[in-house]
Amino acid sequence: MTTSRWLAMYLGLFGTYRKDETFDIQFSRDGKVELRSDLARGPLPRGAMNIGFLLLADHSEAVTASSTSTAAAGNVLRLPELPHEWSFHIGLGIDVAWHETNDPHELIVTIQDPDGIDSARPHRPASRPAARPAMPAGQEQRL
Amino acid sequence: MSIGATAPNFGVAGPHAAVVQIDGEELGRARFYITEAEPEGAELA
Repeated sequence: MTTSRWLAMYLGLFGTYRKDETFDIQFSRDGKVELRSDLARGPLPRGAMNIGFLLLADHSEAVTASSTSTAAAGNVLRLPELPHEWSFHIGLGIDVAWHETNDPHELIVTIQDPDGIDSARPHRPASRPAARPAMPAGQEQRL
Repeated sequence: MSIGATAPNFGVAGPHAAVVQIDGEELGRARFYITEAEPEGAELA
């Protein structure tokens, strides 16, 4: 790396990585901070399945590949009394890696109470995402 | 996709979470807080 590029990155003016340069990333997973050093350029390491989005909503429905939600992304539920029954929807997008698209997977969604105990298990479908014919090789699929 | 939570019976106030698992591994969770409040009724805010 030239001195001018290093100085520009140090000052926060701009920054790019070039071929054969490496970088470090710090991230948290399951509450633990992890560090990966000397990574090469290219796709970041990731699992076969990842959450694209996860929203709580008064109402949500999926039409083809898109999802529509109303009163979404709330994080406080005010109930007139407890205990109380209340129905809601979960808008969910899961990104499935190319090599996993034709395998069956078990999806479980649970509602946990303050003690971490499952208070409801609203949905337990056996999903089998199939690679669409029009998908180019390597493209991940969002369910 | 959209998942309907069919009238879960919330018994206590406090932090709750909708937890998503694939093949036994947790992928993510949406945290939400339940409070007892009159008289607005049930709503997400």
